[in-house]
Amino acid sequence: MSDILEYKCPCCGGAIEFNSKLQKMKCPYCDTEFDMETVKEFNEAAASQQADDMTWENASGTDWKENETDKMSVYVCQSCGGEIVADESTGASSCPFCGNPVVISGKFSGDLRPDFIIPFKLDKKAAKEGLNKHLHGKILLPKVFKKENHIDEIKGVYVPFWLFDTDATADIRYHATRTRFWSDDEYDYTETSHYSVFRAGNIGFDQIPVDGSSKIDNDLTESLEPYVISEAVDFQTPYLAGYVADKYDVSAEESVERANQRVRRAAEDAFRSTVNGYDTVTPEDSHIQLHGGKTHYALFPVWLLSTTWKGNHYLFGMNGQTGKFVGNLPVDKSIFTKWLLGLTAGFSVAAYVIAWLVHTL
Amino acid sequence: MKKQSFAVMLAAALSVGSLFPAALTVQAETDDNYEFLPRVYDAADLLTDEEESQLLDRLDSLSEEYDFDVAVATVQSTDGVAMNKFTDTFYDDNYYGLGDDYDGILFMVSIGDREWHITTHGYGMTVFNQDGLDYLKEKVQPELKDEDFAGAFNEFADQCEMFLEQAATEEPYDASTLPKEPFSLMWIPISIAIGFVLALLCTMGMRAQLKSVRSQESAVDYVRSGSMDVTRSNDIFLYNTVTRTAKPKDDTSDTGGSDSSHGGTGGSF
Repeated sequence: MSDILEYKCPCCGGAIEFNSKLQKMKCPYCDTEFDMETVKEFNEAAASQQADDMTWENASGTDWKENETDKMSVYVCQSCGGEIVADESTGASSCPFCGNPVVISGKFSGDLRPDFIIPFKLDKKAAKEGLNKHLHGKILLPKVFKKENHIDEIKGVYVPFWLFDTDATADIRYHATRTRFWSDDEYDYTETSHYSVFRAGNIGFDQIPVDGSSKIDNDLTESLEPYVISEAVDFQTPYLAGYVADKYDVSAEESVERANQRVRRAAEDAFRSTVNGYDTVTPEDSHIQLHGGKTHYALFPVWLLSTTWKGNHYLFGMNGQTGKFVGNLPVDKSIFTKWLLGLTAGFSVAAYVIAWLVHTL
Repeated sequence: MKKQSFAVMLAAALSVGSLFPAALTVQAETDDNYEFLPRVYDAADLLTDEEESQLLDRLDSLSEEYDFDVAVATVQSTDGVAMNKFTDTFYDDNYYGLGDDYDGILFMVSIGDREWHITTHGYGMTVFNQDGLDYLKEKVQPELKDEDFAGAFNEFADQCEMFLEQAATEEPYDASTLPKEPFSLMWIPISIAIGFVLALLCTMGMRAQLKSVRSQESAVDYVRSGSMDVTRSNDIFLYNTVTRTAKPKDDTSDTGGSDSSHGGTGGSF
């Protein structure tokens, strides 16, 4: 016999009662009726779900070797406060995030040493081609965006990422429905059957990246995914020659929340693929426990171009490994209005002619 | 109306009179001892006296001009008789129609049933073929729905005059010769609205091209291959709901005549 004393309604979660008139369980809050066995089975299944446990070990990272950072300087942007690192031979003159001048603030010191780096695979020429392709065929784009001299300012930046590895146990409840239609002479009928679907199991994740720079929005770095992480190599300072590196200013601990969100969603999506035979499946409740969650620090290659247009700042990025190019572009309102009015006129005349032909013929 | 012997008239009055007894005694006119219904017979009292007398003058002069009975009648109820059958019987039993073939058309409204029917007989079936009846139906139906009965009956009179005039040329109206509604000016704003919506969809599509930054909510790309296994799987049926919606009813029932000697159309309002 079950030791659950108070049963919850599978529909709304309220305390459900036995209705002696119906000889069924009926929820006093949402009025849904259930068989006794259904409520019992649902409550037992729900009670066996374990609470969330989503903790990670601290970022590994390593300390810098002696003299390794001697030839590296830190540059600070006076405008946006961005801090970038470049070796002496490369130097840096303008900020890759906002385009304003940077000044040297001193020798590089402190911070963690990256575990991995994915070296740049695509050069500046490829980045410029990528940008031109990105701008091509965009009718509403302001003309000024296609000026060559500006495109020249695209910069190669190693962006700091935290990589999260973990095994997870997931226990997820989905609400699923199946719908059936039929008709008789007078009515059309729709029958919707509701189910609670429980799935539990194990799933492992390798190197989920979360951007460790506050200067680049997570949206932009996530849009540049995926990176081929198998091509990552152990970090060595010579890889930085010719490029600049962004210093991480969002810690691994602060990035955990984003990693957890993505693990939860991925588990819900992955286990949903095992829920078959329904018309709709919606996750209702998920419990995730992580085991052996580890964090690594890595640098990923990104070509960045910063543009200011009519007082707004636009940042474009190209994945320096795969060539994927992203960046929201502004709409030129006058071009938009011209197209809207022109197309309205064209379609209106066409609609009028069609209506007239249908009427007359 | 065709003059009939009183005995025949009386028999008719008795047979149909049971359906609407008040009408015959109150509304009938006397003509040389024979009782005939006037061309406007408003037992359901849907018209004012003024509307009734104007309509009667109109129908009388129209009927005399073309030697063709154009009449209107209203009743409270058909007492359960199908509207087309009721109208046809009413026409026959009250000796509507002129000439040897009882040529004529009768527009009947039963207010209690909210139904109407137009029946044709003799030459009427030539003047108003099926295309013509469909056209007539479209003309009177909107006014009936608005309960503008005087409007519907006057529209009926106008249309009958037009049809009779055309039929006098030996070529009654059919689908190809019936006058078309003038192309409505409403199509200008409607076309502009359609054009604007289509243009907006196109330009919004162009706008969407400019957005390429989207967050990745899931880490599903980083699932270690072969790492997933399902340890528990159970599906519990909770409950089901059934909703039903009434199928739209066809309001064109009871069209056509009840037998081959009548043509007709009708509907509800």
